[in-house]
Amino acid sequence: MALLDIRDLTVTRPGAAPGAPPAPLLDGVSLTLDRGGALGLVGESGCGKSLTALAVMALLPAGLRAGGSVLLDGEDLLTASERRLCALRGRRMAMVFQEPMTALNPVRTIGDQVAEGPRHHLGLSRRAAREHARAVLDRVGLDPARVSPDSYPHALSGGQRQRAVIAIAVACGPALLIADEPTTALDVATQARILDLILDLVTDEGLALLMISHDLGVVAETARDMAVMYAGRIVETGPTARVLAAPRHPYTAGLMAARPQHDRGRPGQPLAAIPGVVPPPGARPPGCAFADRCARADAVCRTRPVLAGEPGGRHRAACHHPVEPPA
Amino acid sequence: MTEPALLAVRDVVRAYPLPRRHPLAPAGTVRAVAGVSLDLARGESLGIVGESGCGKSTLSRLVTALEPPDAGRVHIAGHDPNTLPRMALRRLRRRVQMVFQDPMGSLDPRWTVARIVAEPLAGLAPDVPRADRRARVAEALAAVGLGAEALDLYPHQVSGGQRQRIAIARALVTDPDLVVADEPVSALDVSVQAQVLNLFLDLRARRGLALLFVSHDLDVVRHVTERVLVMVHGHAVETGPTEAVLSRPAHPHTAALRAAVPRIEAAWEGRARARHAGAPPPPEDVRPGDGCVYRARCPWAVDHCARAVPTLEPVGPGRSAACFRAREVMGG
Repeated sequence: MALLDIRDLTVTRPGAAPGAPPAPLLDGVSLTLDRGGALGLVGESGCGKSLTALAVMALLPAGLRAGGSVLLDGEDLLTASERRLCALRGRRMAMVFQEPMTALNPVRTIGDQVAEGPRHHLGLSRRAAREHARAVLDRVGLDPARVSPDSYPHALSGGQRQRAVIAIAVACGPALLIADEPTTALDVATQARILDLILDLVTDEGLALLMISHDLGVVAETARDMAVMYAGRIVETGPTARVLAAPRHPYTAGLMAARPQHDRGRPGQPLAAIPGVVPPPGARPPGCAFADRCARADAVCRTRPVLAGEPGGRHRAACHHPVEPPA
Repeated sequence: MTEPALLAVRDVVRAYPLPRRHPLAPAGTVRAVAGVSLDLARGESLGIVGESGCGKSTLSRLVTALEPPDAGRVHIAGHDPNTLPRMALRRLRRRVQMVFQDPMGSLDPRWTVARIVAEPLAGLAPDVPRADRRARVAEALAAVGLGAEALDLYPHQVSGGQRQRIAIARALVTDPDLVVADEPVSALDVSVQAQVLNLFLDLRARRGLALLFVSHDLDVVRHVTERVLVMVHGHAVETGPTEAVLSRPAHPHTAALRAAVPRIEAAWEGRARARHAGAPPPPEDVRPGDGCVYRARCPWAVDHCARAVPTLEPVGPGRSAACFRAREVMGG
């Protein structure tokens, strides 16, 4: 049984005006993640990747309605009681957010914030939780001799803050770690060190990792499998090496071609930008949501494509006219 | 007489006070920019790269005369903006405009696009008659690929990429010679980032615009600039043609930045990236006269690096680096 099994997850926002139809934000998202596995979820702003993470943590903003199922160890999180969810969050599943300054409480020390989970979930005494927090902070590279657990978040650098957030997430030994753009607010050198840390934790503690990023390079370095989201749907999924070496969906291929790195040999030449913008929820075209921006689109694309690939293969794309793999 | 360089910066220093550790402690300062020089000719493009806190944004504020340097000189088209009378400074400001990182933060949400883009005209170009302003604004919007229908929209009604186009249109409306862009695409998605980078390339080609492009993204800098300047702790440690510097770095910090960029090839080649050297020390621990500013983190450091401060020395055609072991670093 997979550790995390998301089946046909839909999240809808009620219509803005009375009588207006509800807008689908997530539209039939299915993903699985095995124990100790690493899955990358990529896509642009508003494609629903963060919403997928929040649905797994059962932290969806008030007013949104979720359908389908999210199974953690076979237990459906969408129907679980709040009391049960509180027992799972932090203990079995934990999340690292993009912006460490807003994820941390500014008026409590980092040692206190790391100790909170162990006190609650592991039943440790105040003293034992404090010792545990020191060990966890040391593990994430915040050596208590150099960075005091009694420091407040404002006294730390951006990279140190993100280490503290990671310490909070892993303090109770969760089975699933969700990292939502954990390095987007950091510069490239700090990003490299934080990715090193996350990979070490995944390897040493046997964590399963759901890595959410808009950066294909970050996913390539951290995840064995990946899924590409567009307008609330999964449009391509498979082993990361296969997807990035030979993308089948025109959107994935477009994202790769739009990177300046892609044109390393031709600085100063125009990049292959994807024309147009992502359609907002509620204004998505029927059928394929990418059709309006796609050079390969024709009349068939007005019907919705399903995820499909080679029989028995794990690389699948939701496209009527997939990009041919190189011979 | 030859025309003076569009931008000439000599040994500029800018220090900020540090918070006191306790009320009676002496006030310390941190030198965000500690003696940087650069030149930019008409139509040229220069990238400034470095980690957070290396002083790249402060440098861009100095060259746009948003702040005066504590020491050193900034000359724009032969004039020192910090000694000019107010009216002359306004005329000079028309020639240097800025684009900021976050278009949501740099555009007033209660103003229409027409008013936002016209603002520099009202402040800096009083000779442009009021009646002509709307036409100038429409012209600037057309240059960034937006139609006249955008004029009466508010920032929240357009997409992130369009907002950054509006910020660029505002920079173009005074017909400047130099645009200083501070992380202009780092808040944008990949597909939209490509659209905005293409716009910068196009504007340079069509208008002969000079560009000072501040970014931590080496791939982006490589794509849009001809020359690059790498900064560490307020110091310029390497400069030269972008392609040469980034493909064969002469300073260990440039090499480390390059190695830190996540690569999609890691998906099939395995993650071969070298573990990155330590984090930068806090600014108050970096003191002048302490030897090379990078030595504490440098895998190439030798005893000499603690005794002497390396200065920028030529290491190749148009290239210089501030490292005693630059030749060895270049050799790999």
